[in-house]
Amino acid sequence: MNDAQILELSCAGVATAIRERRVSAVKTMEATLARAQAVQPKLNAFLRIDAELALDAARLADKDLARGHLRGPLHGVPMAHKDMYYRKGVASSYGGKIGPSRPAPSTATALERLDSAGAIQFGVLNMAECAFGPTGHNTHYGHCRNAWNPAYITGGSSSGSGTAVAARASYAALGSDTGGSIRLPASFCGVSGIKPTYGRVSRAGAMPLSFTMDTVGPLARTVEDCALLLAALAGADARDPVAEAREVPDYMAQLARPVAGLVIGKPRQYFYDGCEPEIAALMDASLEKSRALGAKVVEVDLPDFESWNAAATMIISAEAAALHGNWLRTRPQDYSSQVRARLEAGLAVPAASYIDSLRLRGVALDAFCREVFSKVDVLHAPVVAFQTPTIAETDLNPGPELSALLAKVTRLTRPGNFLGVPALSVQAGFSKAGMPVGMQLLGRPFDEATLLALGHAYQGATDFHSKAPPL
Amino acid sequence: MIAPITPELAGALVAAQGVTPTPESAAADARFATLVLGNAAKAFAQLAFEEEPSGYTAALRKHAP
Repeated sequence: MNDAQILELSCAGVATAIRERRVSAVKTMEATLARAQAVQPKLNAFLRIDAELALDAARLADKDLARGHLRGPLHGVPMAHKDMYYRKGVASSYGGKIGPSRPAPSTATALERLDSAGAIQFGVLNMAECAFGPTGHNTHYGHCRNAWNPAYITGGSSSGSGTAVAARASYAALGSDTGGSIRLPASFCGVSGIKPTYGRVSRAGAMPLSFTMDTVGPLARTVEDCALLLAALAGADARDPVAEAREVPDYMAQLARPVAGLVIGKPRQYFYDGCEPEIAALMDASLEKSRALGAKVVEVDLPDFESWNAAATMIISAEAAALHGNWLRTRPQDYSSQVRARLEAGLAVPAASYIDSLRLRGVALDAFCREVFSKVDVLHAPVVAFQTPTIAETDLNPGPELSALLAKVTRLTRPGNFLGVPALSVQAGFSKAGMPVGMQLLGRPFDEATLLALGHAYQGATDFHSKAPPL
Repeated sequence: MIAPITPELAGALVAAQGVTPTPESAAADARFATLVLGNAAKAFAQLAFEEEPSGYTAALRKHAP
């Protein structure tokens, strides 16, 4: 296989090729490193590339395979991750100036599990400062740029994860999703990404932003890849008190579940308020494709998403302000003006209102499941209601205009975090401007398998996910 | 109808927690808090007296397939 053929493989595809010794881990790593270094000047996706360490690890992977030892389903697969996952003794940047002063005391559970599955980390990826920004701007390390057109935003906060995977510069990447930070870059960059149910994947060793809303999950080229990664990541963890002990389904096996007969809900409220016609048309086309696969599509009424979005905003802001309080007091100059302003706003949330927001979550989830999942298996919606903006259009100083922009970007993703339900972002097509547009599928708590099966079937009937950006 | 949080109140809250606001940031903090409190007020008013945050974890498990 030549480099182009290697890089065109999905994560599952390259794992199989390495396992079957059609390509070596070293050759795969060399191709990936060359690609990463080639796209970096255009995309600014990477904050560090550890070429020599990664090549050493790839040589060991090949030796293991030669003596018949397969480490796991990701044996030898090169990956880079959002720079907020701790590796013992190494300081993660958190996309800003706060992280570099804090060498990690232990390795993140998510990284340990990918290591155990055989994946090889070769670098760390750009991200929004402290994972507190949905556009991909970063004043400390430079803005991350969209692989489909570097003038456009990547979405955030897992900005480097989205654009590196789209650029074929990493087979998959960890992101994190507190208000949309996996789904937004997946949508803007045209890759697949899953925000698991709150507690499905351990947060231990992942930089916290909002401990009651943070989720850890993968971005990858295909839904099948997401299933492969999630299978490696999910499960109980004594290091994370909210990591759920329930059995992890065989996500890969369940990809083959039939989607005929599934009932998909199209929301009557909230998600299409102010939605641009071109986005709505792509959503309708994706629903039509699902119908052709045998799914039934019905319209559903939603409970009060507007108030849930406000409550989610209070929780994230108050928890982020508390977590960053000491640094806000002692090192305010180390934050960008935008992040400092957003963290400061969290200090103005009254304690009783923060607690009311937490009290509302169980009530909201009950209402959502009663009113939606009694009628449908999956809720289908856009990830964002507007076309991808440029970096310049969204490069704003703190003020009402920036606040309105940030609220608009996360409006359709944040309620999923408040409810804690799983949400899968899958590309639904391209805008007339040539930029990817994503849809999100929301499911019952811990029912990632249904979303993955539907997303996989959809990708089997479409080819958006197989198109590479013209870099 | 809830009263808006004023920039003076927001600024005082922030300063009381050891962070120094600017007039502009205090005004932004006030706008933010007023907006989210206003949007959530109706839902908060309907919360049962006994409702507590742990109800959320129970709901997650209850609605799993």
